[in-house]
Amino acid sequence: MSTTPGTGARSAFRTGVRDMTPVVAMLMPIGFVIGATAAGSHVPPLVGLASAPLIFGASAQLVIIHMLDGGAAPALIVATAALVSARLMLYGAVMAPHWQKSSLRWKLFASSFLVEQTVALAAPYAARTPDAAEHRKYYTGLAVTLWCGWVAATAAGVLIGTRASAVVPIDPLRVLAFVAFAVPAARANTGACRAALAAAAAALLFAGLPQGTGLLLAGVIGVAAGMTWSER
Amino acid sequence: MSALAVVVASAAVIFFMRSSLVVAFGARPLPAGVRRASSFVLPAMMSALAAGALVPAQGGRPDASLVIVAVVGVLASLRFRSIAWPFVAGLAAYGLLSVTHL
Repeated sequence: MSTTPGTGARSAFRTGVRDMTPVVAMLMPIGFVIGATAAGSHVPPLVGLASAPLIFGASAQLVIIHMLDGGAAPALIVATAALVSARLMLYGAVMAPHWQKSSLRWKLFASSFLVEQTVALAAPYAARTPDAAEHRKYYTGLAVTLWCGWVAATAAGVLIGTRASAVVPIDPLRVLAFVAFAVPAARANTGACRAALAAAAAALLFAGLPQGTGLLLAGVIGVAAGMTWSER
Repeated sequence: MSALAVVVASAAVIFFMRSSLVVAFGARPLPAGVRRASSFVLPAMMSALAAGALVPAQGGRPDASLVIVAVVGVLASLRFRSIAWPFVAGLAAYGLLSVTHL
């Protein structure tokens, strides 16, 4: 993987595509299974398909499909999807310093693609490159690659996935998708390492809490731990 | 309210959440505390998501085979400093565990 900045705005887009491609390859089975889940439910195929480009988030897509299939009230579905996606606000805080001098149009465009994978690759790159245009090209390469791969995988799942999903090892892929980004992020400094360890411990402790609240709580505890211990 | 309308409404709310802090801090510098906190968001959330994925959806204790996969993935990431190797090593470990029924 190459994430070396300073190669110019034109090649930065290609670098973003190249850096995101192996990640997309590993995430495609997850998108496939989400599409297959929609196909196997009472949710119309068009709705399952539309969830990928519009929602662009695995956990929220799954929650919405499950709740639609179960006949939950629309307001409850929207509120639950928002709760599950609350962590995305924090990713906005990560990227906001790097986008301060960008236009509002760029901020709105780029915000649409804020997920773990884009932030994990874009934030370190932006911290190392002084050229905002180059970073924007790099982020666009990341975002477009992930979005296209995700939509394609979900569409394949909706169309052909009901049988094939049984043989895709979804659980280990999900774990590894986060491990692959957690370790480099935790290696940044001592505070980051302690934030990661505290958040992981809290996530296991609060795993029983409903609709992602345990996850959000664990993230907040991790951030607090990082701030507390990095001050010492 | 149709199912498609629910998806569109959810997407609108999620988009608002994604863009709110980016736009809110668009023209003025981030408060020092927020800037410092934001540097810990990524390691904290990624680790929380990884640890949370070890526990079955219905709750309970972490799945032992997933814990082994995660440990192998962490070791591969530490050793090779690459995004791809944790997947390769972790899936190999999972395949081995499936074959041996450990």
